[in-house]
Amino acid sequence: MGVGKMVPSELKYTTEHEWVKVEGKRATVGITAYAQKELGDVVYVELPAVGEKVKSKAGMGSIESVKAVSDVYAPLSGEILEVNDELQFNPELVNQDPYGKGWIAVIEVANPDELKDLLTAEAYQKLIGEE
Amino acid sequence: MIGRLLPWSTGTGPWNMALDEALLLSYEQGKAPPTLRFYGWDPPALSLGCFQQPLNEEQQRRFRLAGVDWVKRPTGGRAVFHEDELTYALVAGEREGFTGPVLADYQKIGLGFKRGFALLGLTVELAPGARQAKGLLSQACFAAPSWSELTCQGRKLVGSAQLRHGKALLQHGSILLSFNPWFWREVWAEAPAAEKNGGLARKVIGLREALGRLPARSDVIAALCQGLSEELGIEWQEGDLSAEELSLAARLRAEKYTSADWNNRRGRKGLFGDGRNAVQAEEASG
Repeated sequence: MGVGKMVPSELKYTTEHEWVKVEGKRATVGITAYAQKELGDVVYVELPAVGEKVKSKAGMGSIESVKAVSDVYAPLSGEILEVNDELQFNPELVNQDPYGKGWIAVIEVANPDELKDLLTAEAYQKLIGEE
Repeated sequence: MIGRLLPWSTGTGPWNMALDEALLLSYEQGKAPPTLRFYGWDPPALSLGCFQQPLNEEQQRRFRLAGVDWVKRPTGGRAVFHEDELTYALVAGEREGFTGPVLADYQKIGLGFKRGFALLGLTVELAPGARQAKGLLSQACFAAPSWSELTCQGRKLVGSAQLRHGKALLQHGSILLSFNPWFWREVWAEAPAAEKNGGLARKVIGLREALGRLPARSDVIAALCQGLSEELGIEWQEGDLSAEELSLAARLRAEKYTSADWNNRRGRKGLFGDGRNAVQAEEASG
């Protein structure tokens, strides 16, 4: 598999298989195509609350897929500005369009230094290639 | 590879769930080896998936009258009534080869149980629940996943669910010894539609009926341990809980699994939400 739709080059990633799209102080977050495939069919997404303060690498929600519940970790510290309420009714969007309609939340970046810890598309591709 | 087999025990719903989670945390923190335990429920209890809607007040009143406990699991899935069953919990992770996908790991454990049941003289199937790949990826990139529910004569014998924390997983589930519909008829107000026709009993099967006899509990556990050992490459050695695990479980019981915050939190609104609990009950072992 190549770095294409699987790992869009314009996004940043975490070792916990989240993607991050940074636009100024706004960071949109979701789980990667690889992650959704690993989890299987998603049946429920527990979203963080708008206004909640999240901490990098700490849990900010959960995803229930067929047979398993898995944590979603915050890739960056900050306040939750928006959540994708559509997932409450259509959690399968995480499977169908992980980088688009399956986004999970928008975080207001509190500490720009943390951006350095995110992986490039190439580095993430290498990570999942090795897993 | 050496794993720890804990002694059989019975506990309340909140205690059992707290201990399962404590074992996962202990393993995840590198303080414990892979661990397997078999346990029972006293009093009988209903466990709900962590994102199912909680019981309403009327249901809770009926549960109290019937002496039935209830608790939310740390895992997902649907309602399970725990009475005459062997419940198991297995904690392991990447170190033991559980590297995902979820359903592949699930299947690996299922194959271990299948071997174990074979040692008891019982042929079980890993139900091939069809799942079509969705999304952006081609199937060629990954092993095609399949469900792996254990069935016997086409009826569900074992139902399980996983909780994954990073590179560690907890899988627990129920191995039915016998099925008695009294709970669904008398305590659960809305009998599942299928149950009204006696259908639930036709969808699940207990070990006693499947084998035509019920071996001693220790023999069942020994066979299942051996099957899991052969499949997973883990040699189970009897061991005990650490003081730290006991203390962590006690804290989780007090602060999480007996708390209204946990047990009454709202979950899914759609597919399995209010008014659909009867459907959950219908698939009671999963």
